[in-house]
Amino acid sequence: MRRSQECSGASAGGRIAGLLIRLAETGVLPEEDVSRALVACGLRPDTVGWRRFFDRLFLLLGTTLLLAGIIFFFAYNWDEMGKFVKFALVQAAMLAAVLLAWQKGLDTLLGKISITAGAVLVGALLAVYGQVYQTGADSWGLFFTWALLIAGWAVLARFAPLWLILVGLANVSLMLYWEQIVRAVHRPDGALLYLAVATVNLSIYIAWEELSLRGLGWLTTSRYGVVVAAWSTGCGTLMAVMEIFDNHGGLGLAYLPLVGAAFAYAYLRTRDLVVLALVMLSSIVAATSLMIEVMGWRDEFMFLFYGLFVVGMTAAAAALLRRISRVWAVAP
Amino acid sequence: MSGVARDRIVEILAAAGVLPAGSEATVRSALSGDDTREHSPWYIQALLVAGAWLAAILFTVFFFGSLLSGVKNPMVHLTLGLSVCGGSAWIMRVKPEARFLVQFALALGIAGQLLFGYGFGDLAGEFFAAALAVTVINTALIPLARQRLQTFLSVIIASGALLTALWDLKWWMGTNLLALLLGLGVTAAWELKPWYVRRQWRPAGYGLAMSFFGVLHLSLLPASDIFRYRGQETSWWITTTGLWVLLALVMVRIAGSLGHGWKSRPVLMLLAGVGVLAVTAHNSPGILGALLVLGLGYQRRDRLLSGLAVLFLAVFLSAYYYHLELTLLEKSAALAASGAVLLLFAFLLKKTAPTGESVHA
Repeated sequence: MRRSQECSGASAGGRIAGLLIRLAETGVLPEEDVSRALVACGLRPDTVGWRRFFDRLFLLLGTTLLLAGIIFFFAYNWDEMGKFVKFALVQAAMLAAVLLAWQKGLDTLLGKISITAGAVLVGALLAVYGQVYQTGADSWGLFFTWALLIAGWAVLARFAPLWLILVGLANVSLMLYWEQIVRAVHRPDGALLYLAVATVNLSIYIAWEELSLRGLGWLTTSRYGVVVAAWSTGCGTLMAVMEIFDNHGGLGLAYLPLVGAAFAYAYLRTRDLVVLALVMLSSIVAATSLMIEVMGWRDEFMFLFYGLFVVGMTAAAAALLRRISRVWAVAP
Repeated sequence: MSGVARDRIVEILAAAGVLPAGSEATVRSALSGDDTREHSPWYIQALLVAGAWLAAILFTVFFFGSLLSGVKNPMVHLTLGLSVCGGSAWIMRVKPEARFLVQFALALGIAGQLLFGYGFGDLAGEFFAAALAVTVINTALIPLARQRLQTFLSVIIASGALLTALWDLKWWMGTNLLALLLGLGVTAAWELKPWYVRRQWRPAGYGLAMSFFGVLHLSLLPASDIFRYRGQETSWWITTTGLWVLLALVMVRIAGSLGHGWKSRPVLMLLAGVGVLAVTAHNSPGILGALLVLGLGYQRRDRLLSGLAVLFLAVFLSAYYYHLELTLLEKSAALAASGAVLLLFAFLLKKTAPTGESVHA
């Protein structure tokens, strides 16, 4: 039986396998023939496939264990190593990553991954610097400096995962700054931090989408902006819930302009149904929390009412999203 | 699916002699039949799922709060819990398309199981009896509800309940047997034909794999922790030996399906290699277990299963080397030596394995 190459390819293979299984489930194709059909379509590995599998498995495992052994060896000798050797090791790895990126070019995937690896190693270099010179600096400074140093590479690489790392570092710097500097002096409550994080990330999301709408090609093909929006929405929801249950302060009112801005931007500017769904879910959680706090939670019977409220709100949100989706489909 | 692609598939299947005589038109028609069901986009489904679970949690608080404070009779708890489970299974069975309702029923069903287990345990006076009852209920829910997420969760909950029953009975050997049973279950689910063909059983296959890895995770715990029973040895060699046998059988079966006898050199080398691994890592059955699942995932070209296996292989390998009672220098030597051995093995296998032509079934 000749093996076919036409059926190969990950997504095509999955579809074909699913179709063959559906044919078996509906009785069109006898069950005992599904295996042969999958082999005929090249969707089951043959001897060559298995040899390749073991090749890669042993190669990958062997290389990983060997590298781990080398790293452990350096870890064992770390304290005895001179400071220049320590710096040289990390800088050599960074240089190798950058050279590989330069050689392959930043338009290739390997080049982009290499520059990303180099950007990650910048953090390792800063950590070694802090360890060697015992600067005593707060850790928020390390992450902030790290973000600043790799910002240029992120612009050059035009690689969404690297931008996501940059956004992550900015978030970590902000949160550590809060813990180590702001809280130590002013003692504000945690809800203010989440409001700050939510606002910063919403701004990043809007900037990301605006650049995408202005034709930055590499941004238009990625959906990482939604990850930032999801993080912003999550922090905003957490802020609202904390204010409702713990602080009972006026800060919770800041939730309204925050979700309002996110909703308005996603509805009017980007027509992003995923972000609209996130905002609606956040609103359901916040509204339910407010209802529980105002109407009380000591009487178990009230939870029946709260449950029905959530059911109604979810159904309404889903119906609204479907309607918006249909309207946009008709009038793009 | 495009007409050209559909015709090509039918040609390939016909050339392979797989299609029954005269069925090409039927197959073409079945492949071209568009699914007329309207599917909600994934973000609406996610919103419905989140809302359903939130609502179910609130209903459960009402349900449990008012019931448990007012009614102390365990028989009532048991009966009510069973009724809730039955009702949720019925909803999932008759309304499989209603996403919100199905998720809501699923969440309530879990609450019903808790209530049932609570009542049963109270009635029997034994924790392990409640755990066994939960196992039975979940096993029954799989064919009753016929819902994929329910199937997945039921397998995991049933396995977890069995494990807690063994813990309550302080029967260490039982944990080894449970691990082996789950390994057998994973192999049966992914290797035997009738299972993988039926789509609704695939979640059971994933559930078995997750439960299998979950139980094997216990081998990562220090022996001095919860599984030191009355001075019993907390050794995993039984599981490791059993998994080595299972892995060997699977390898021989797959090799056989490709036209290679078990006495062929590459197969013997692989069996020997796995045997050496079993001996050196006799208290870390997770490594063999992950390799077994990885092989099954590759055989079925199932990326999710393979991905899970790769993830857990990394976890088990890391834990194995972490727990070695050696200095950092000795560990670095052990790691480097293991890596070198594997690379040598890869080289030897390349020398002894067949050349690049396919083996036709």
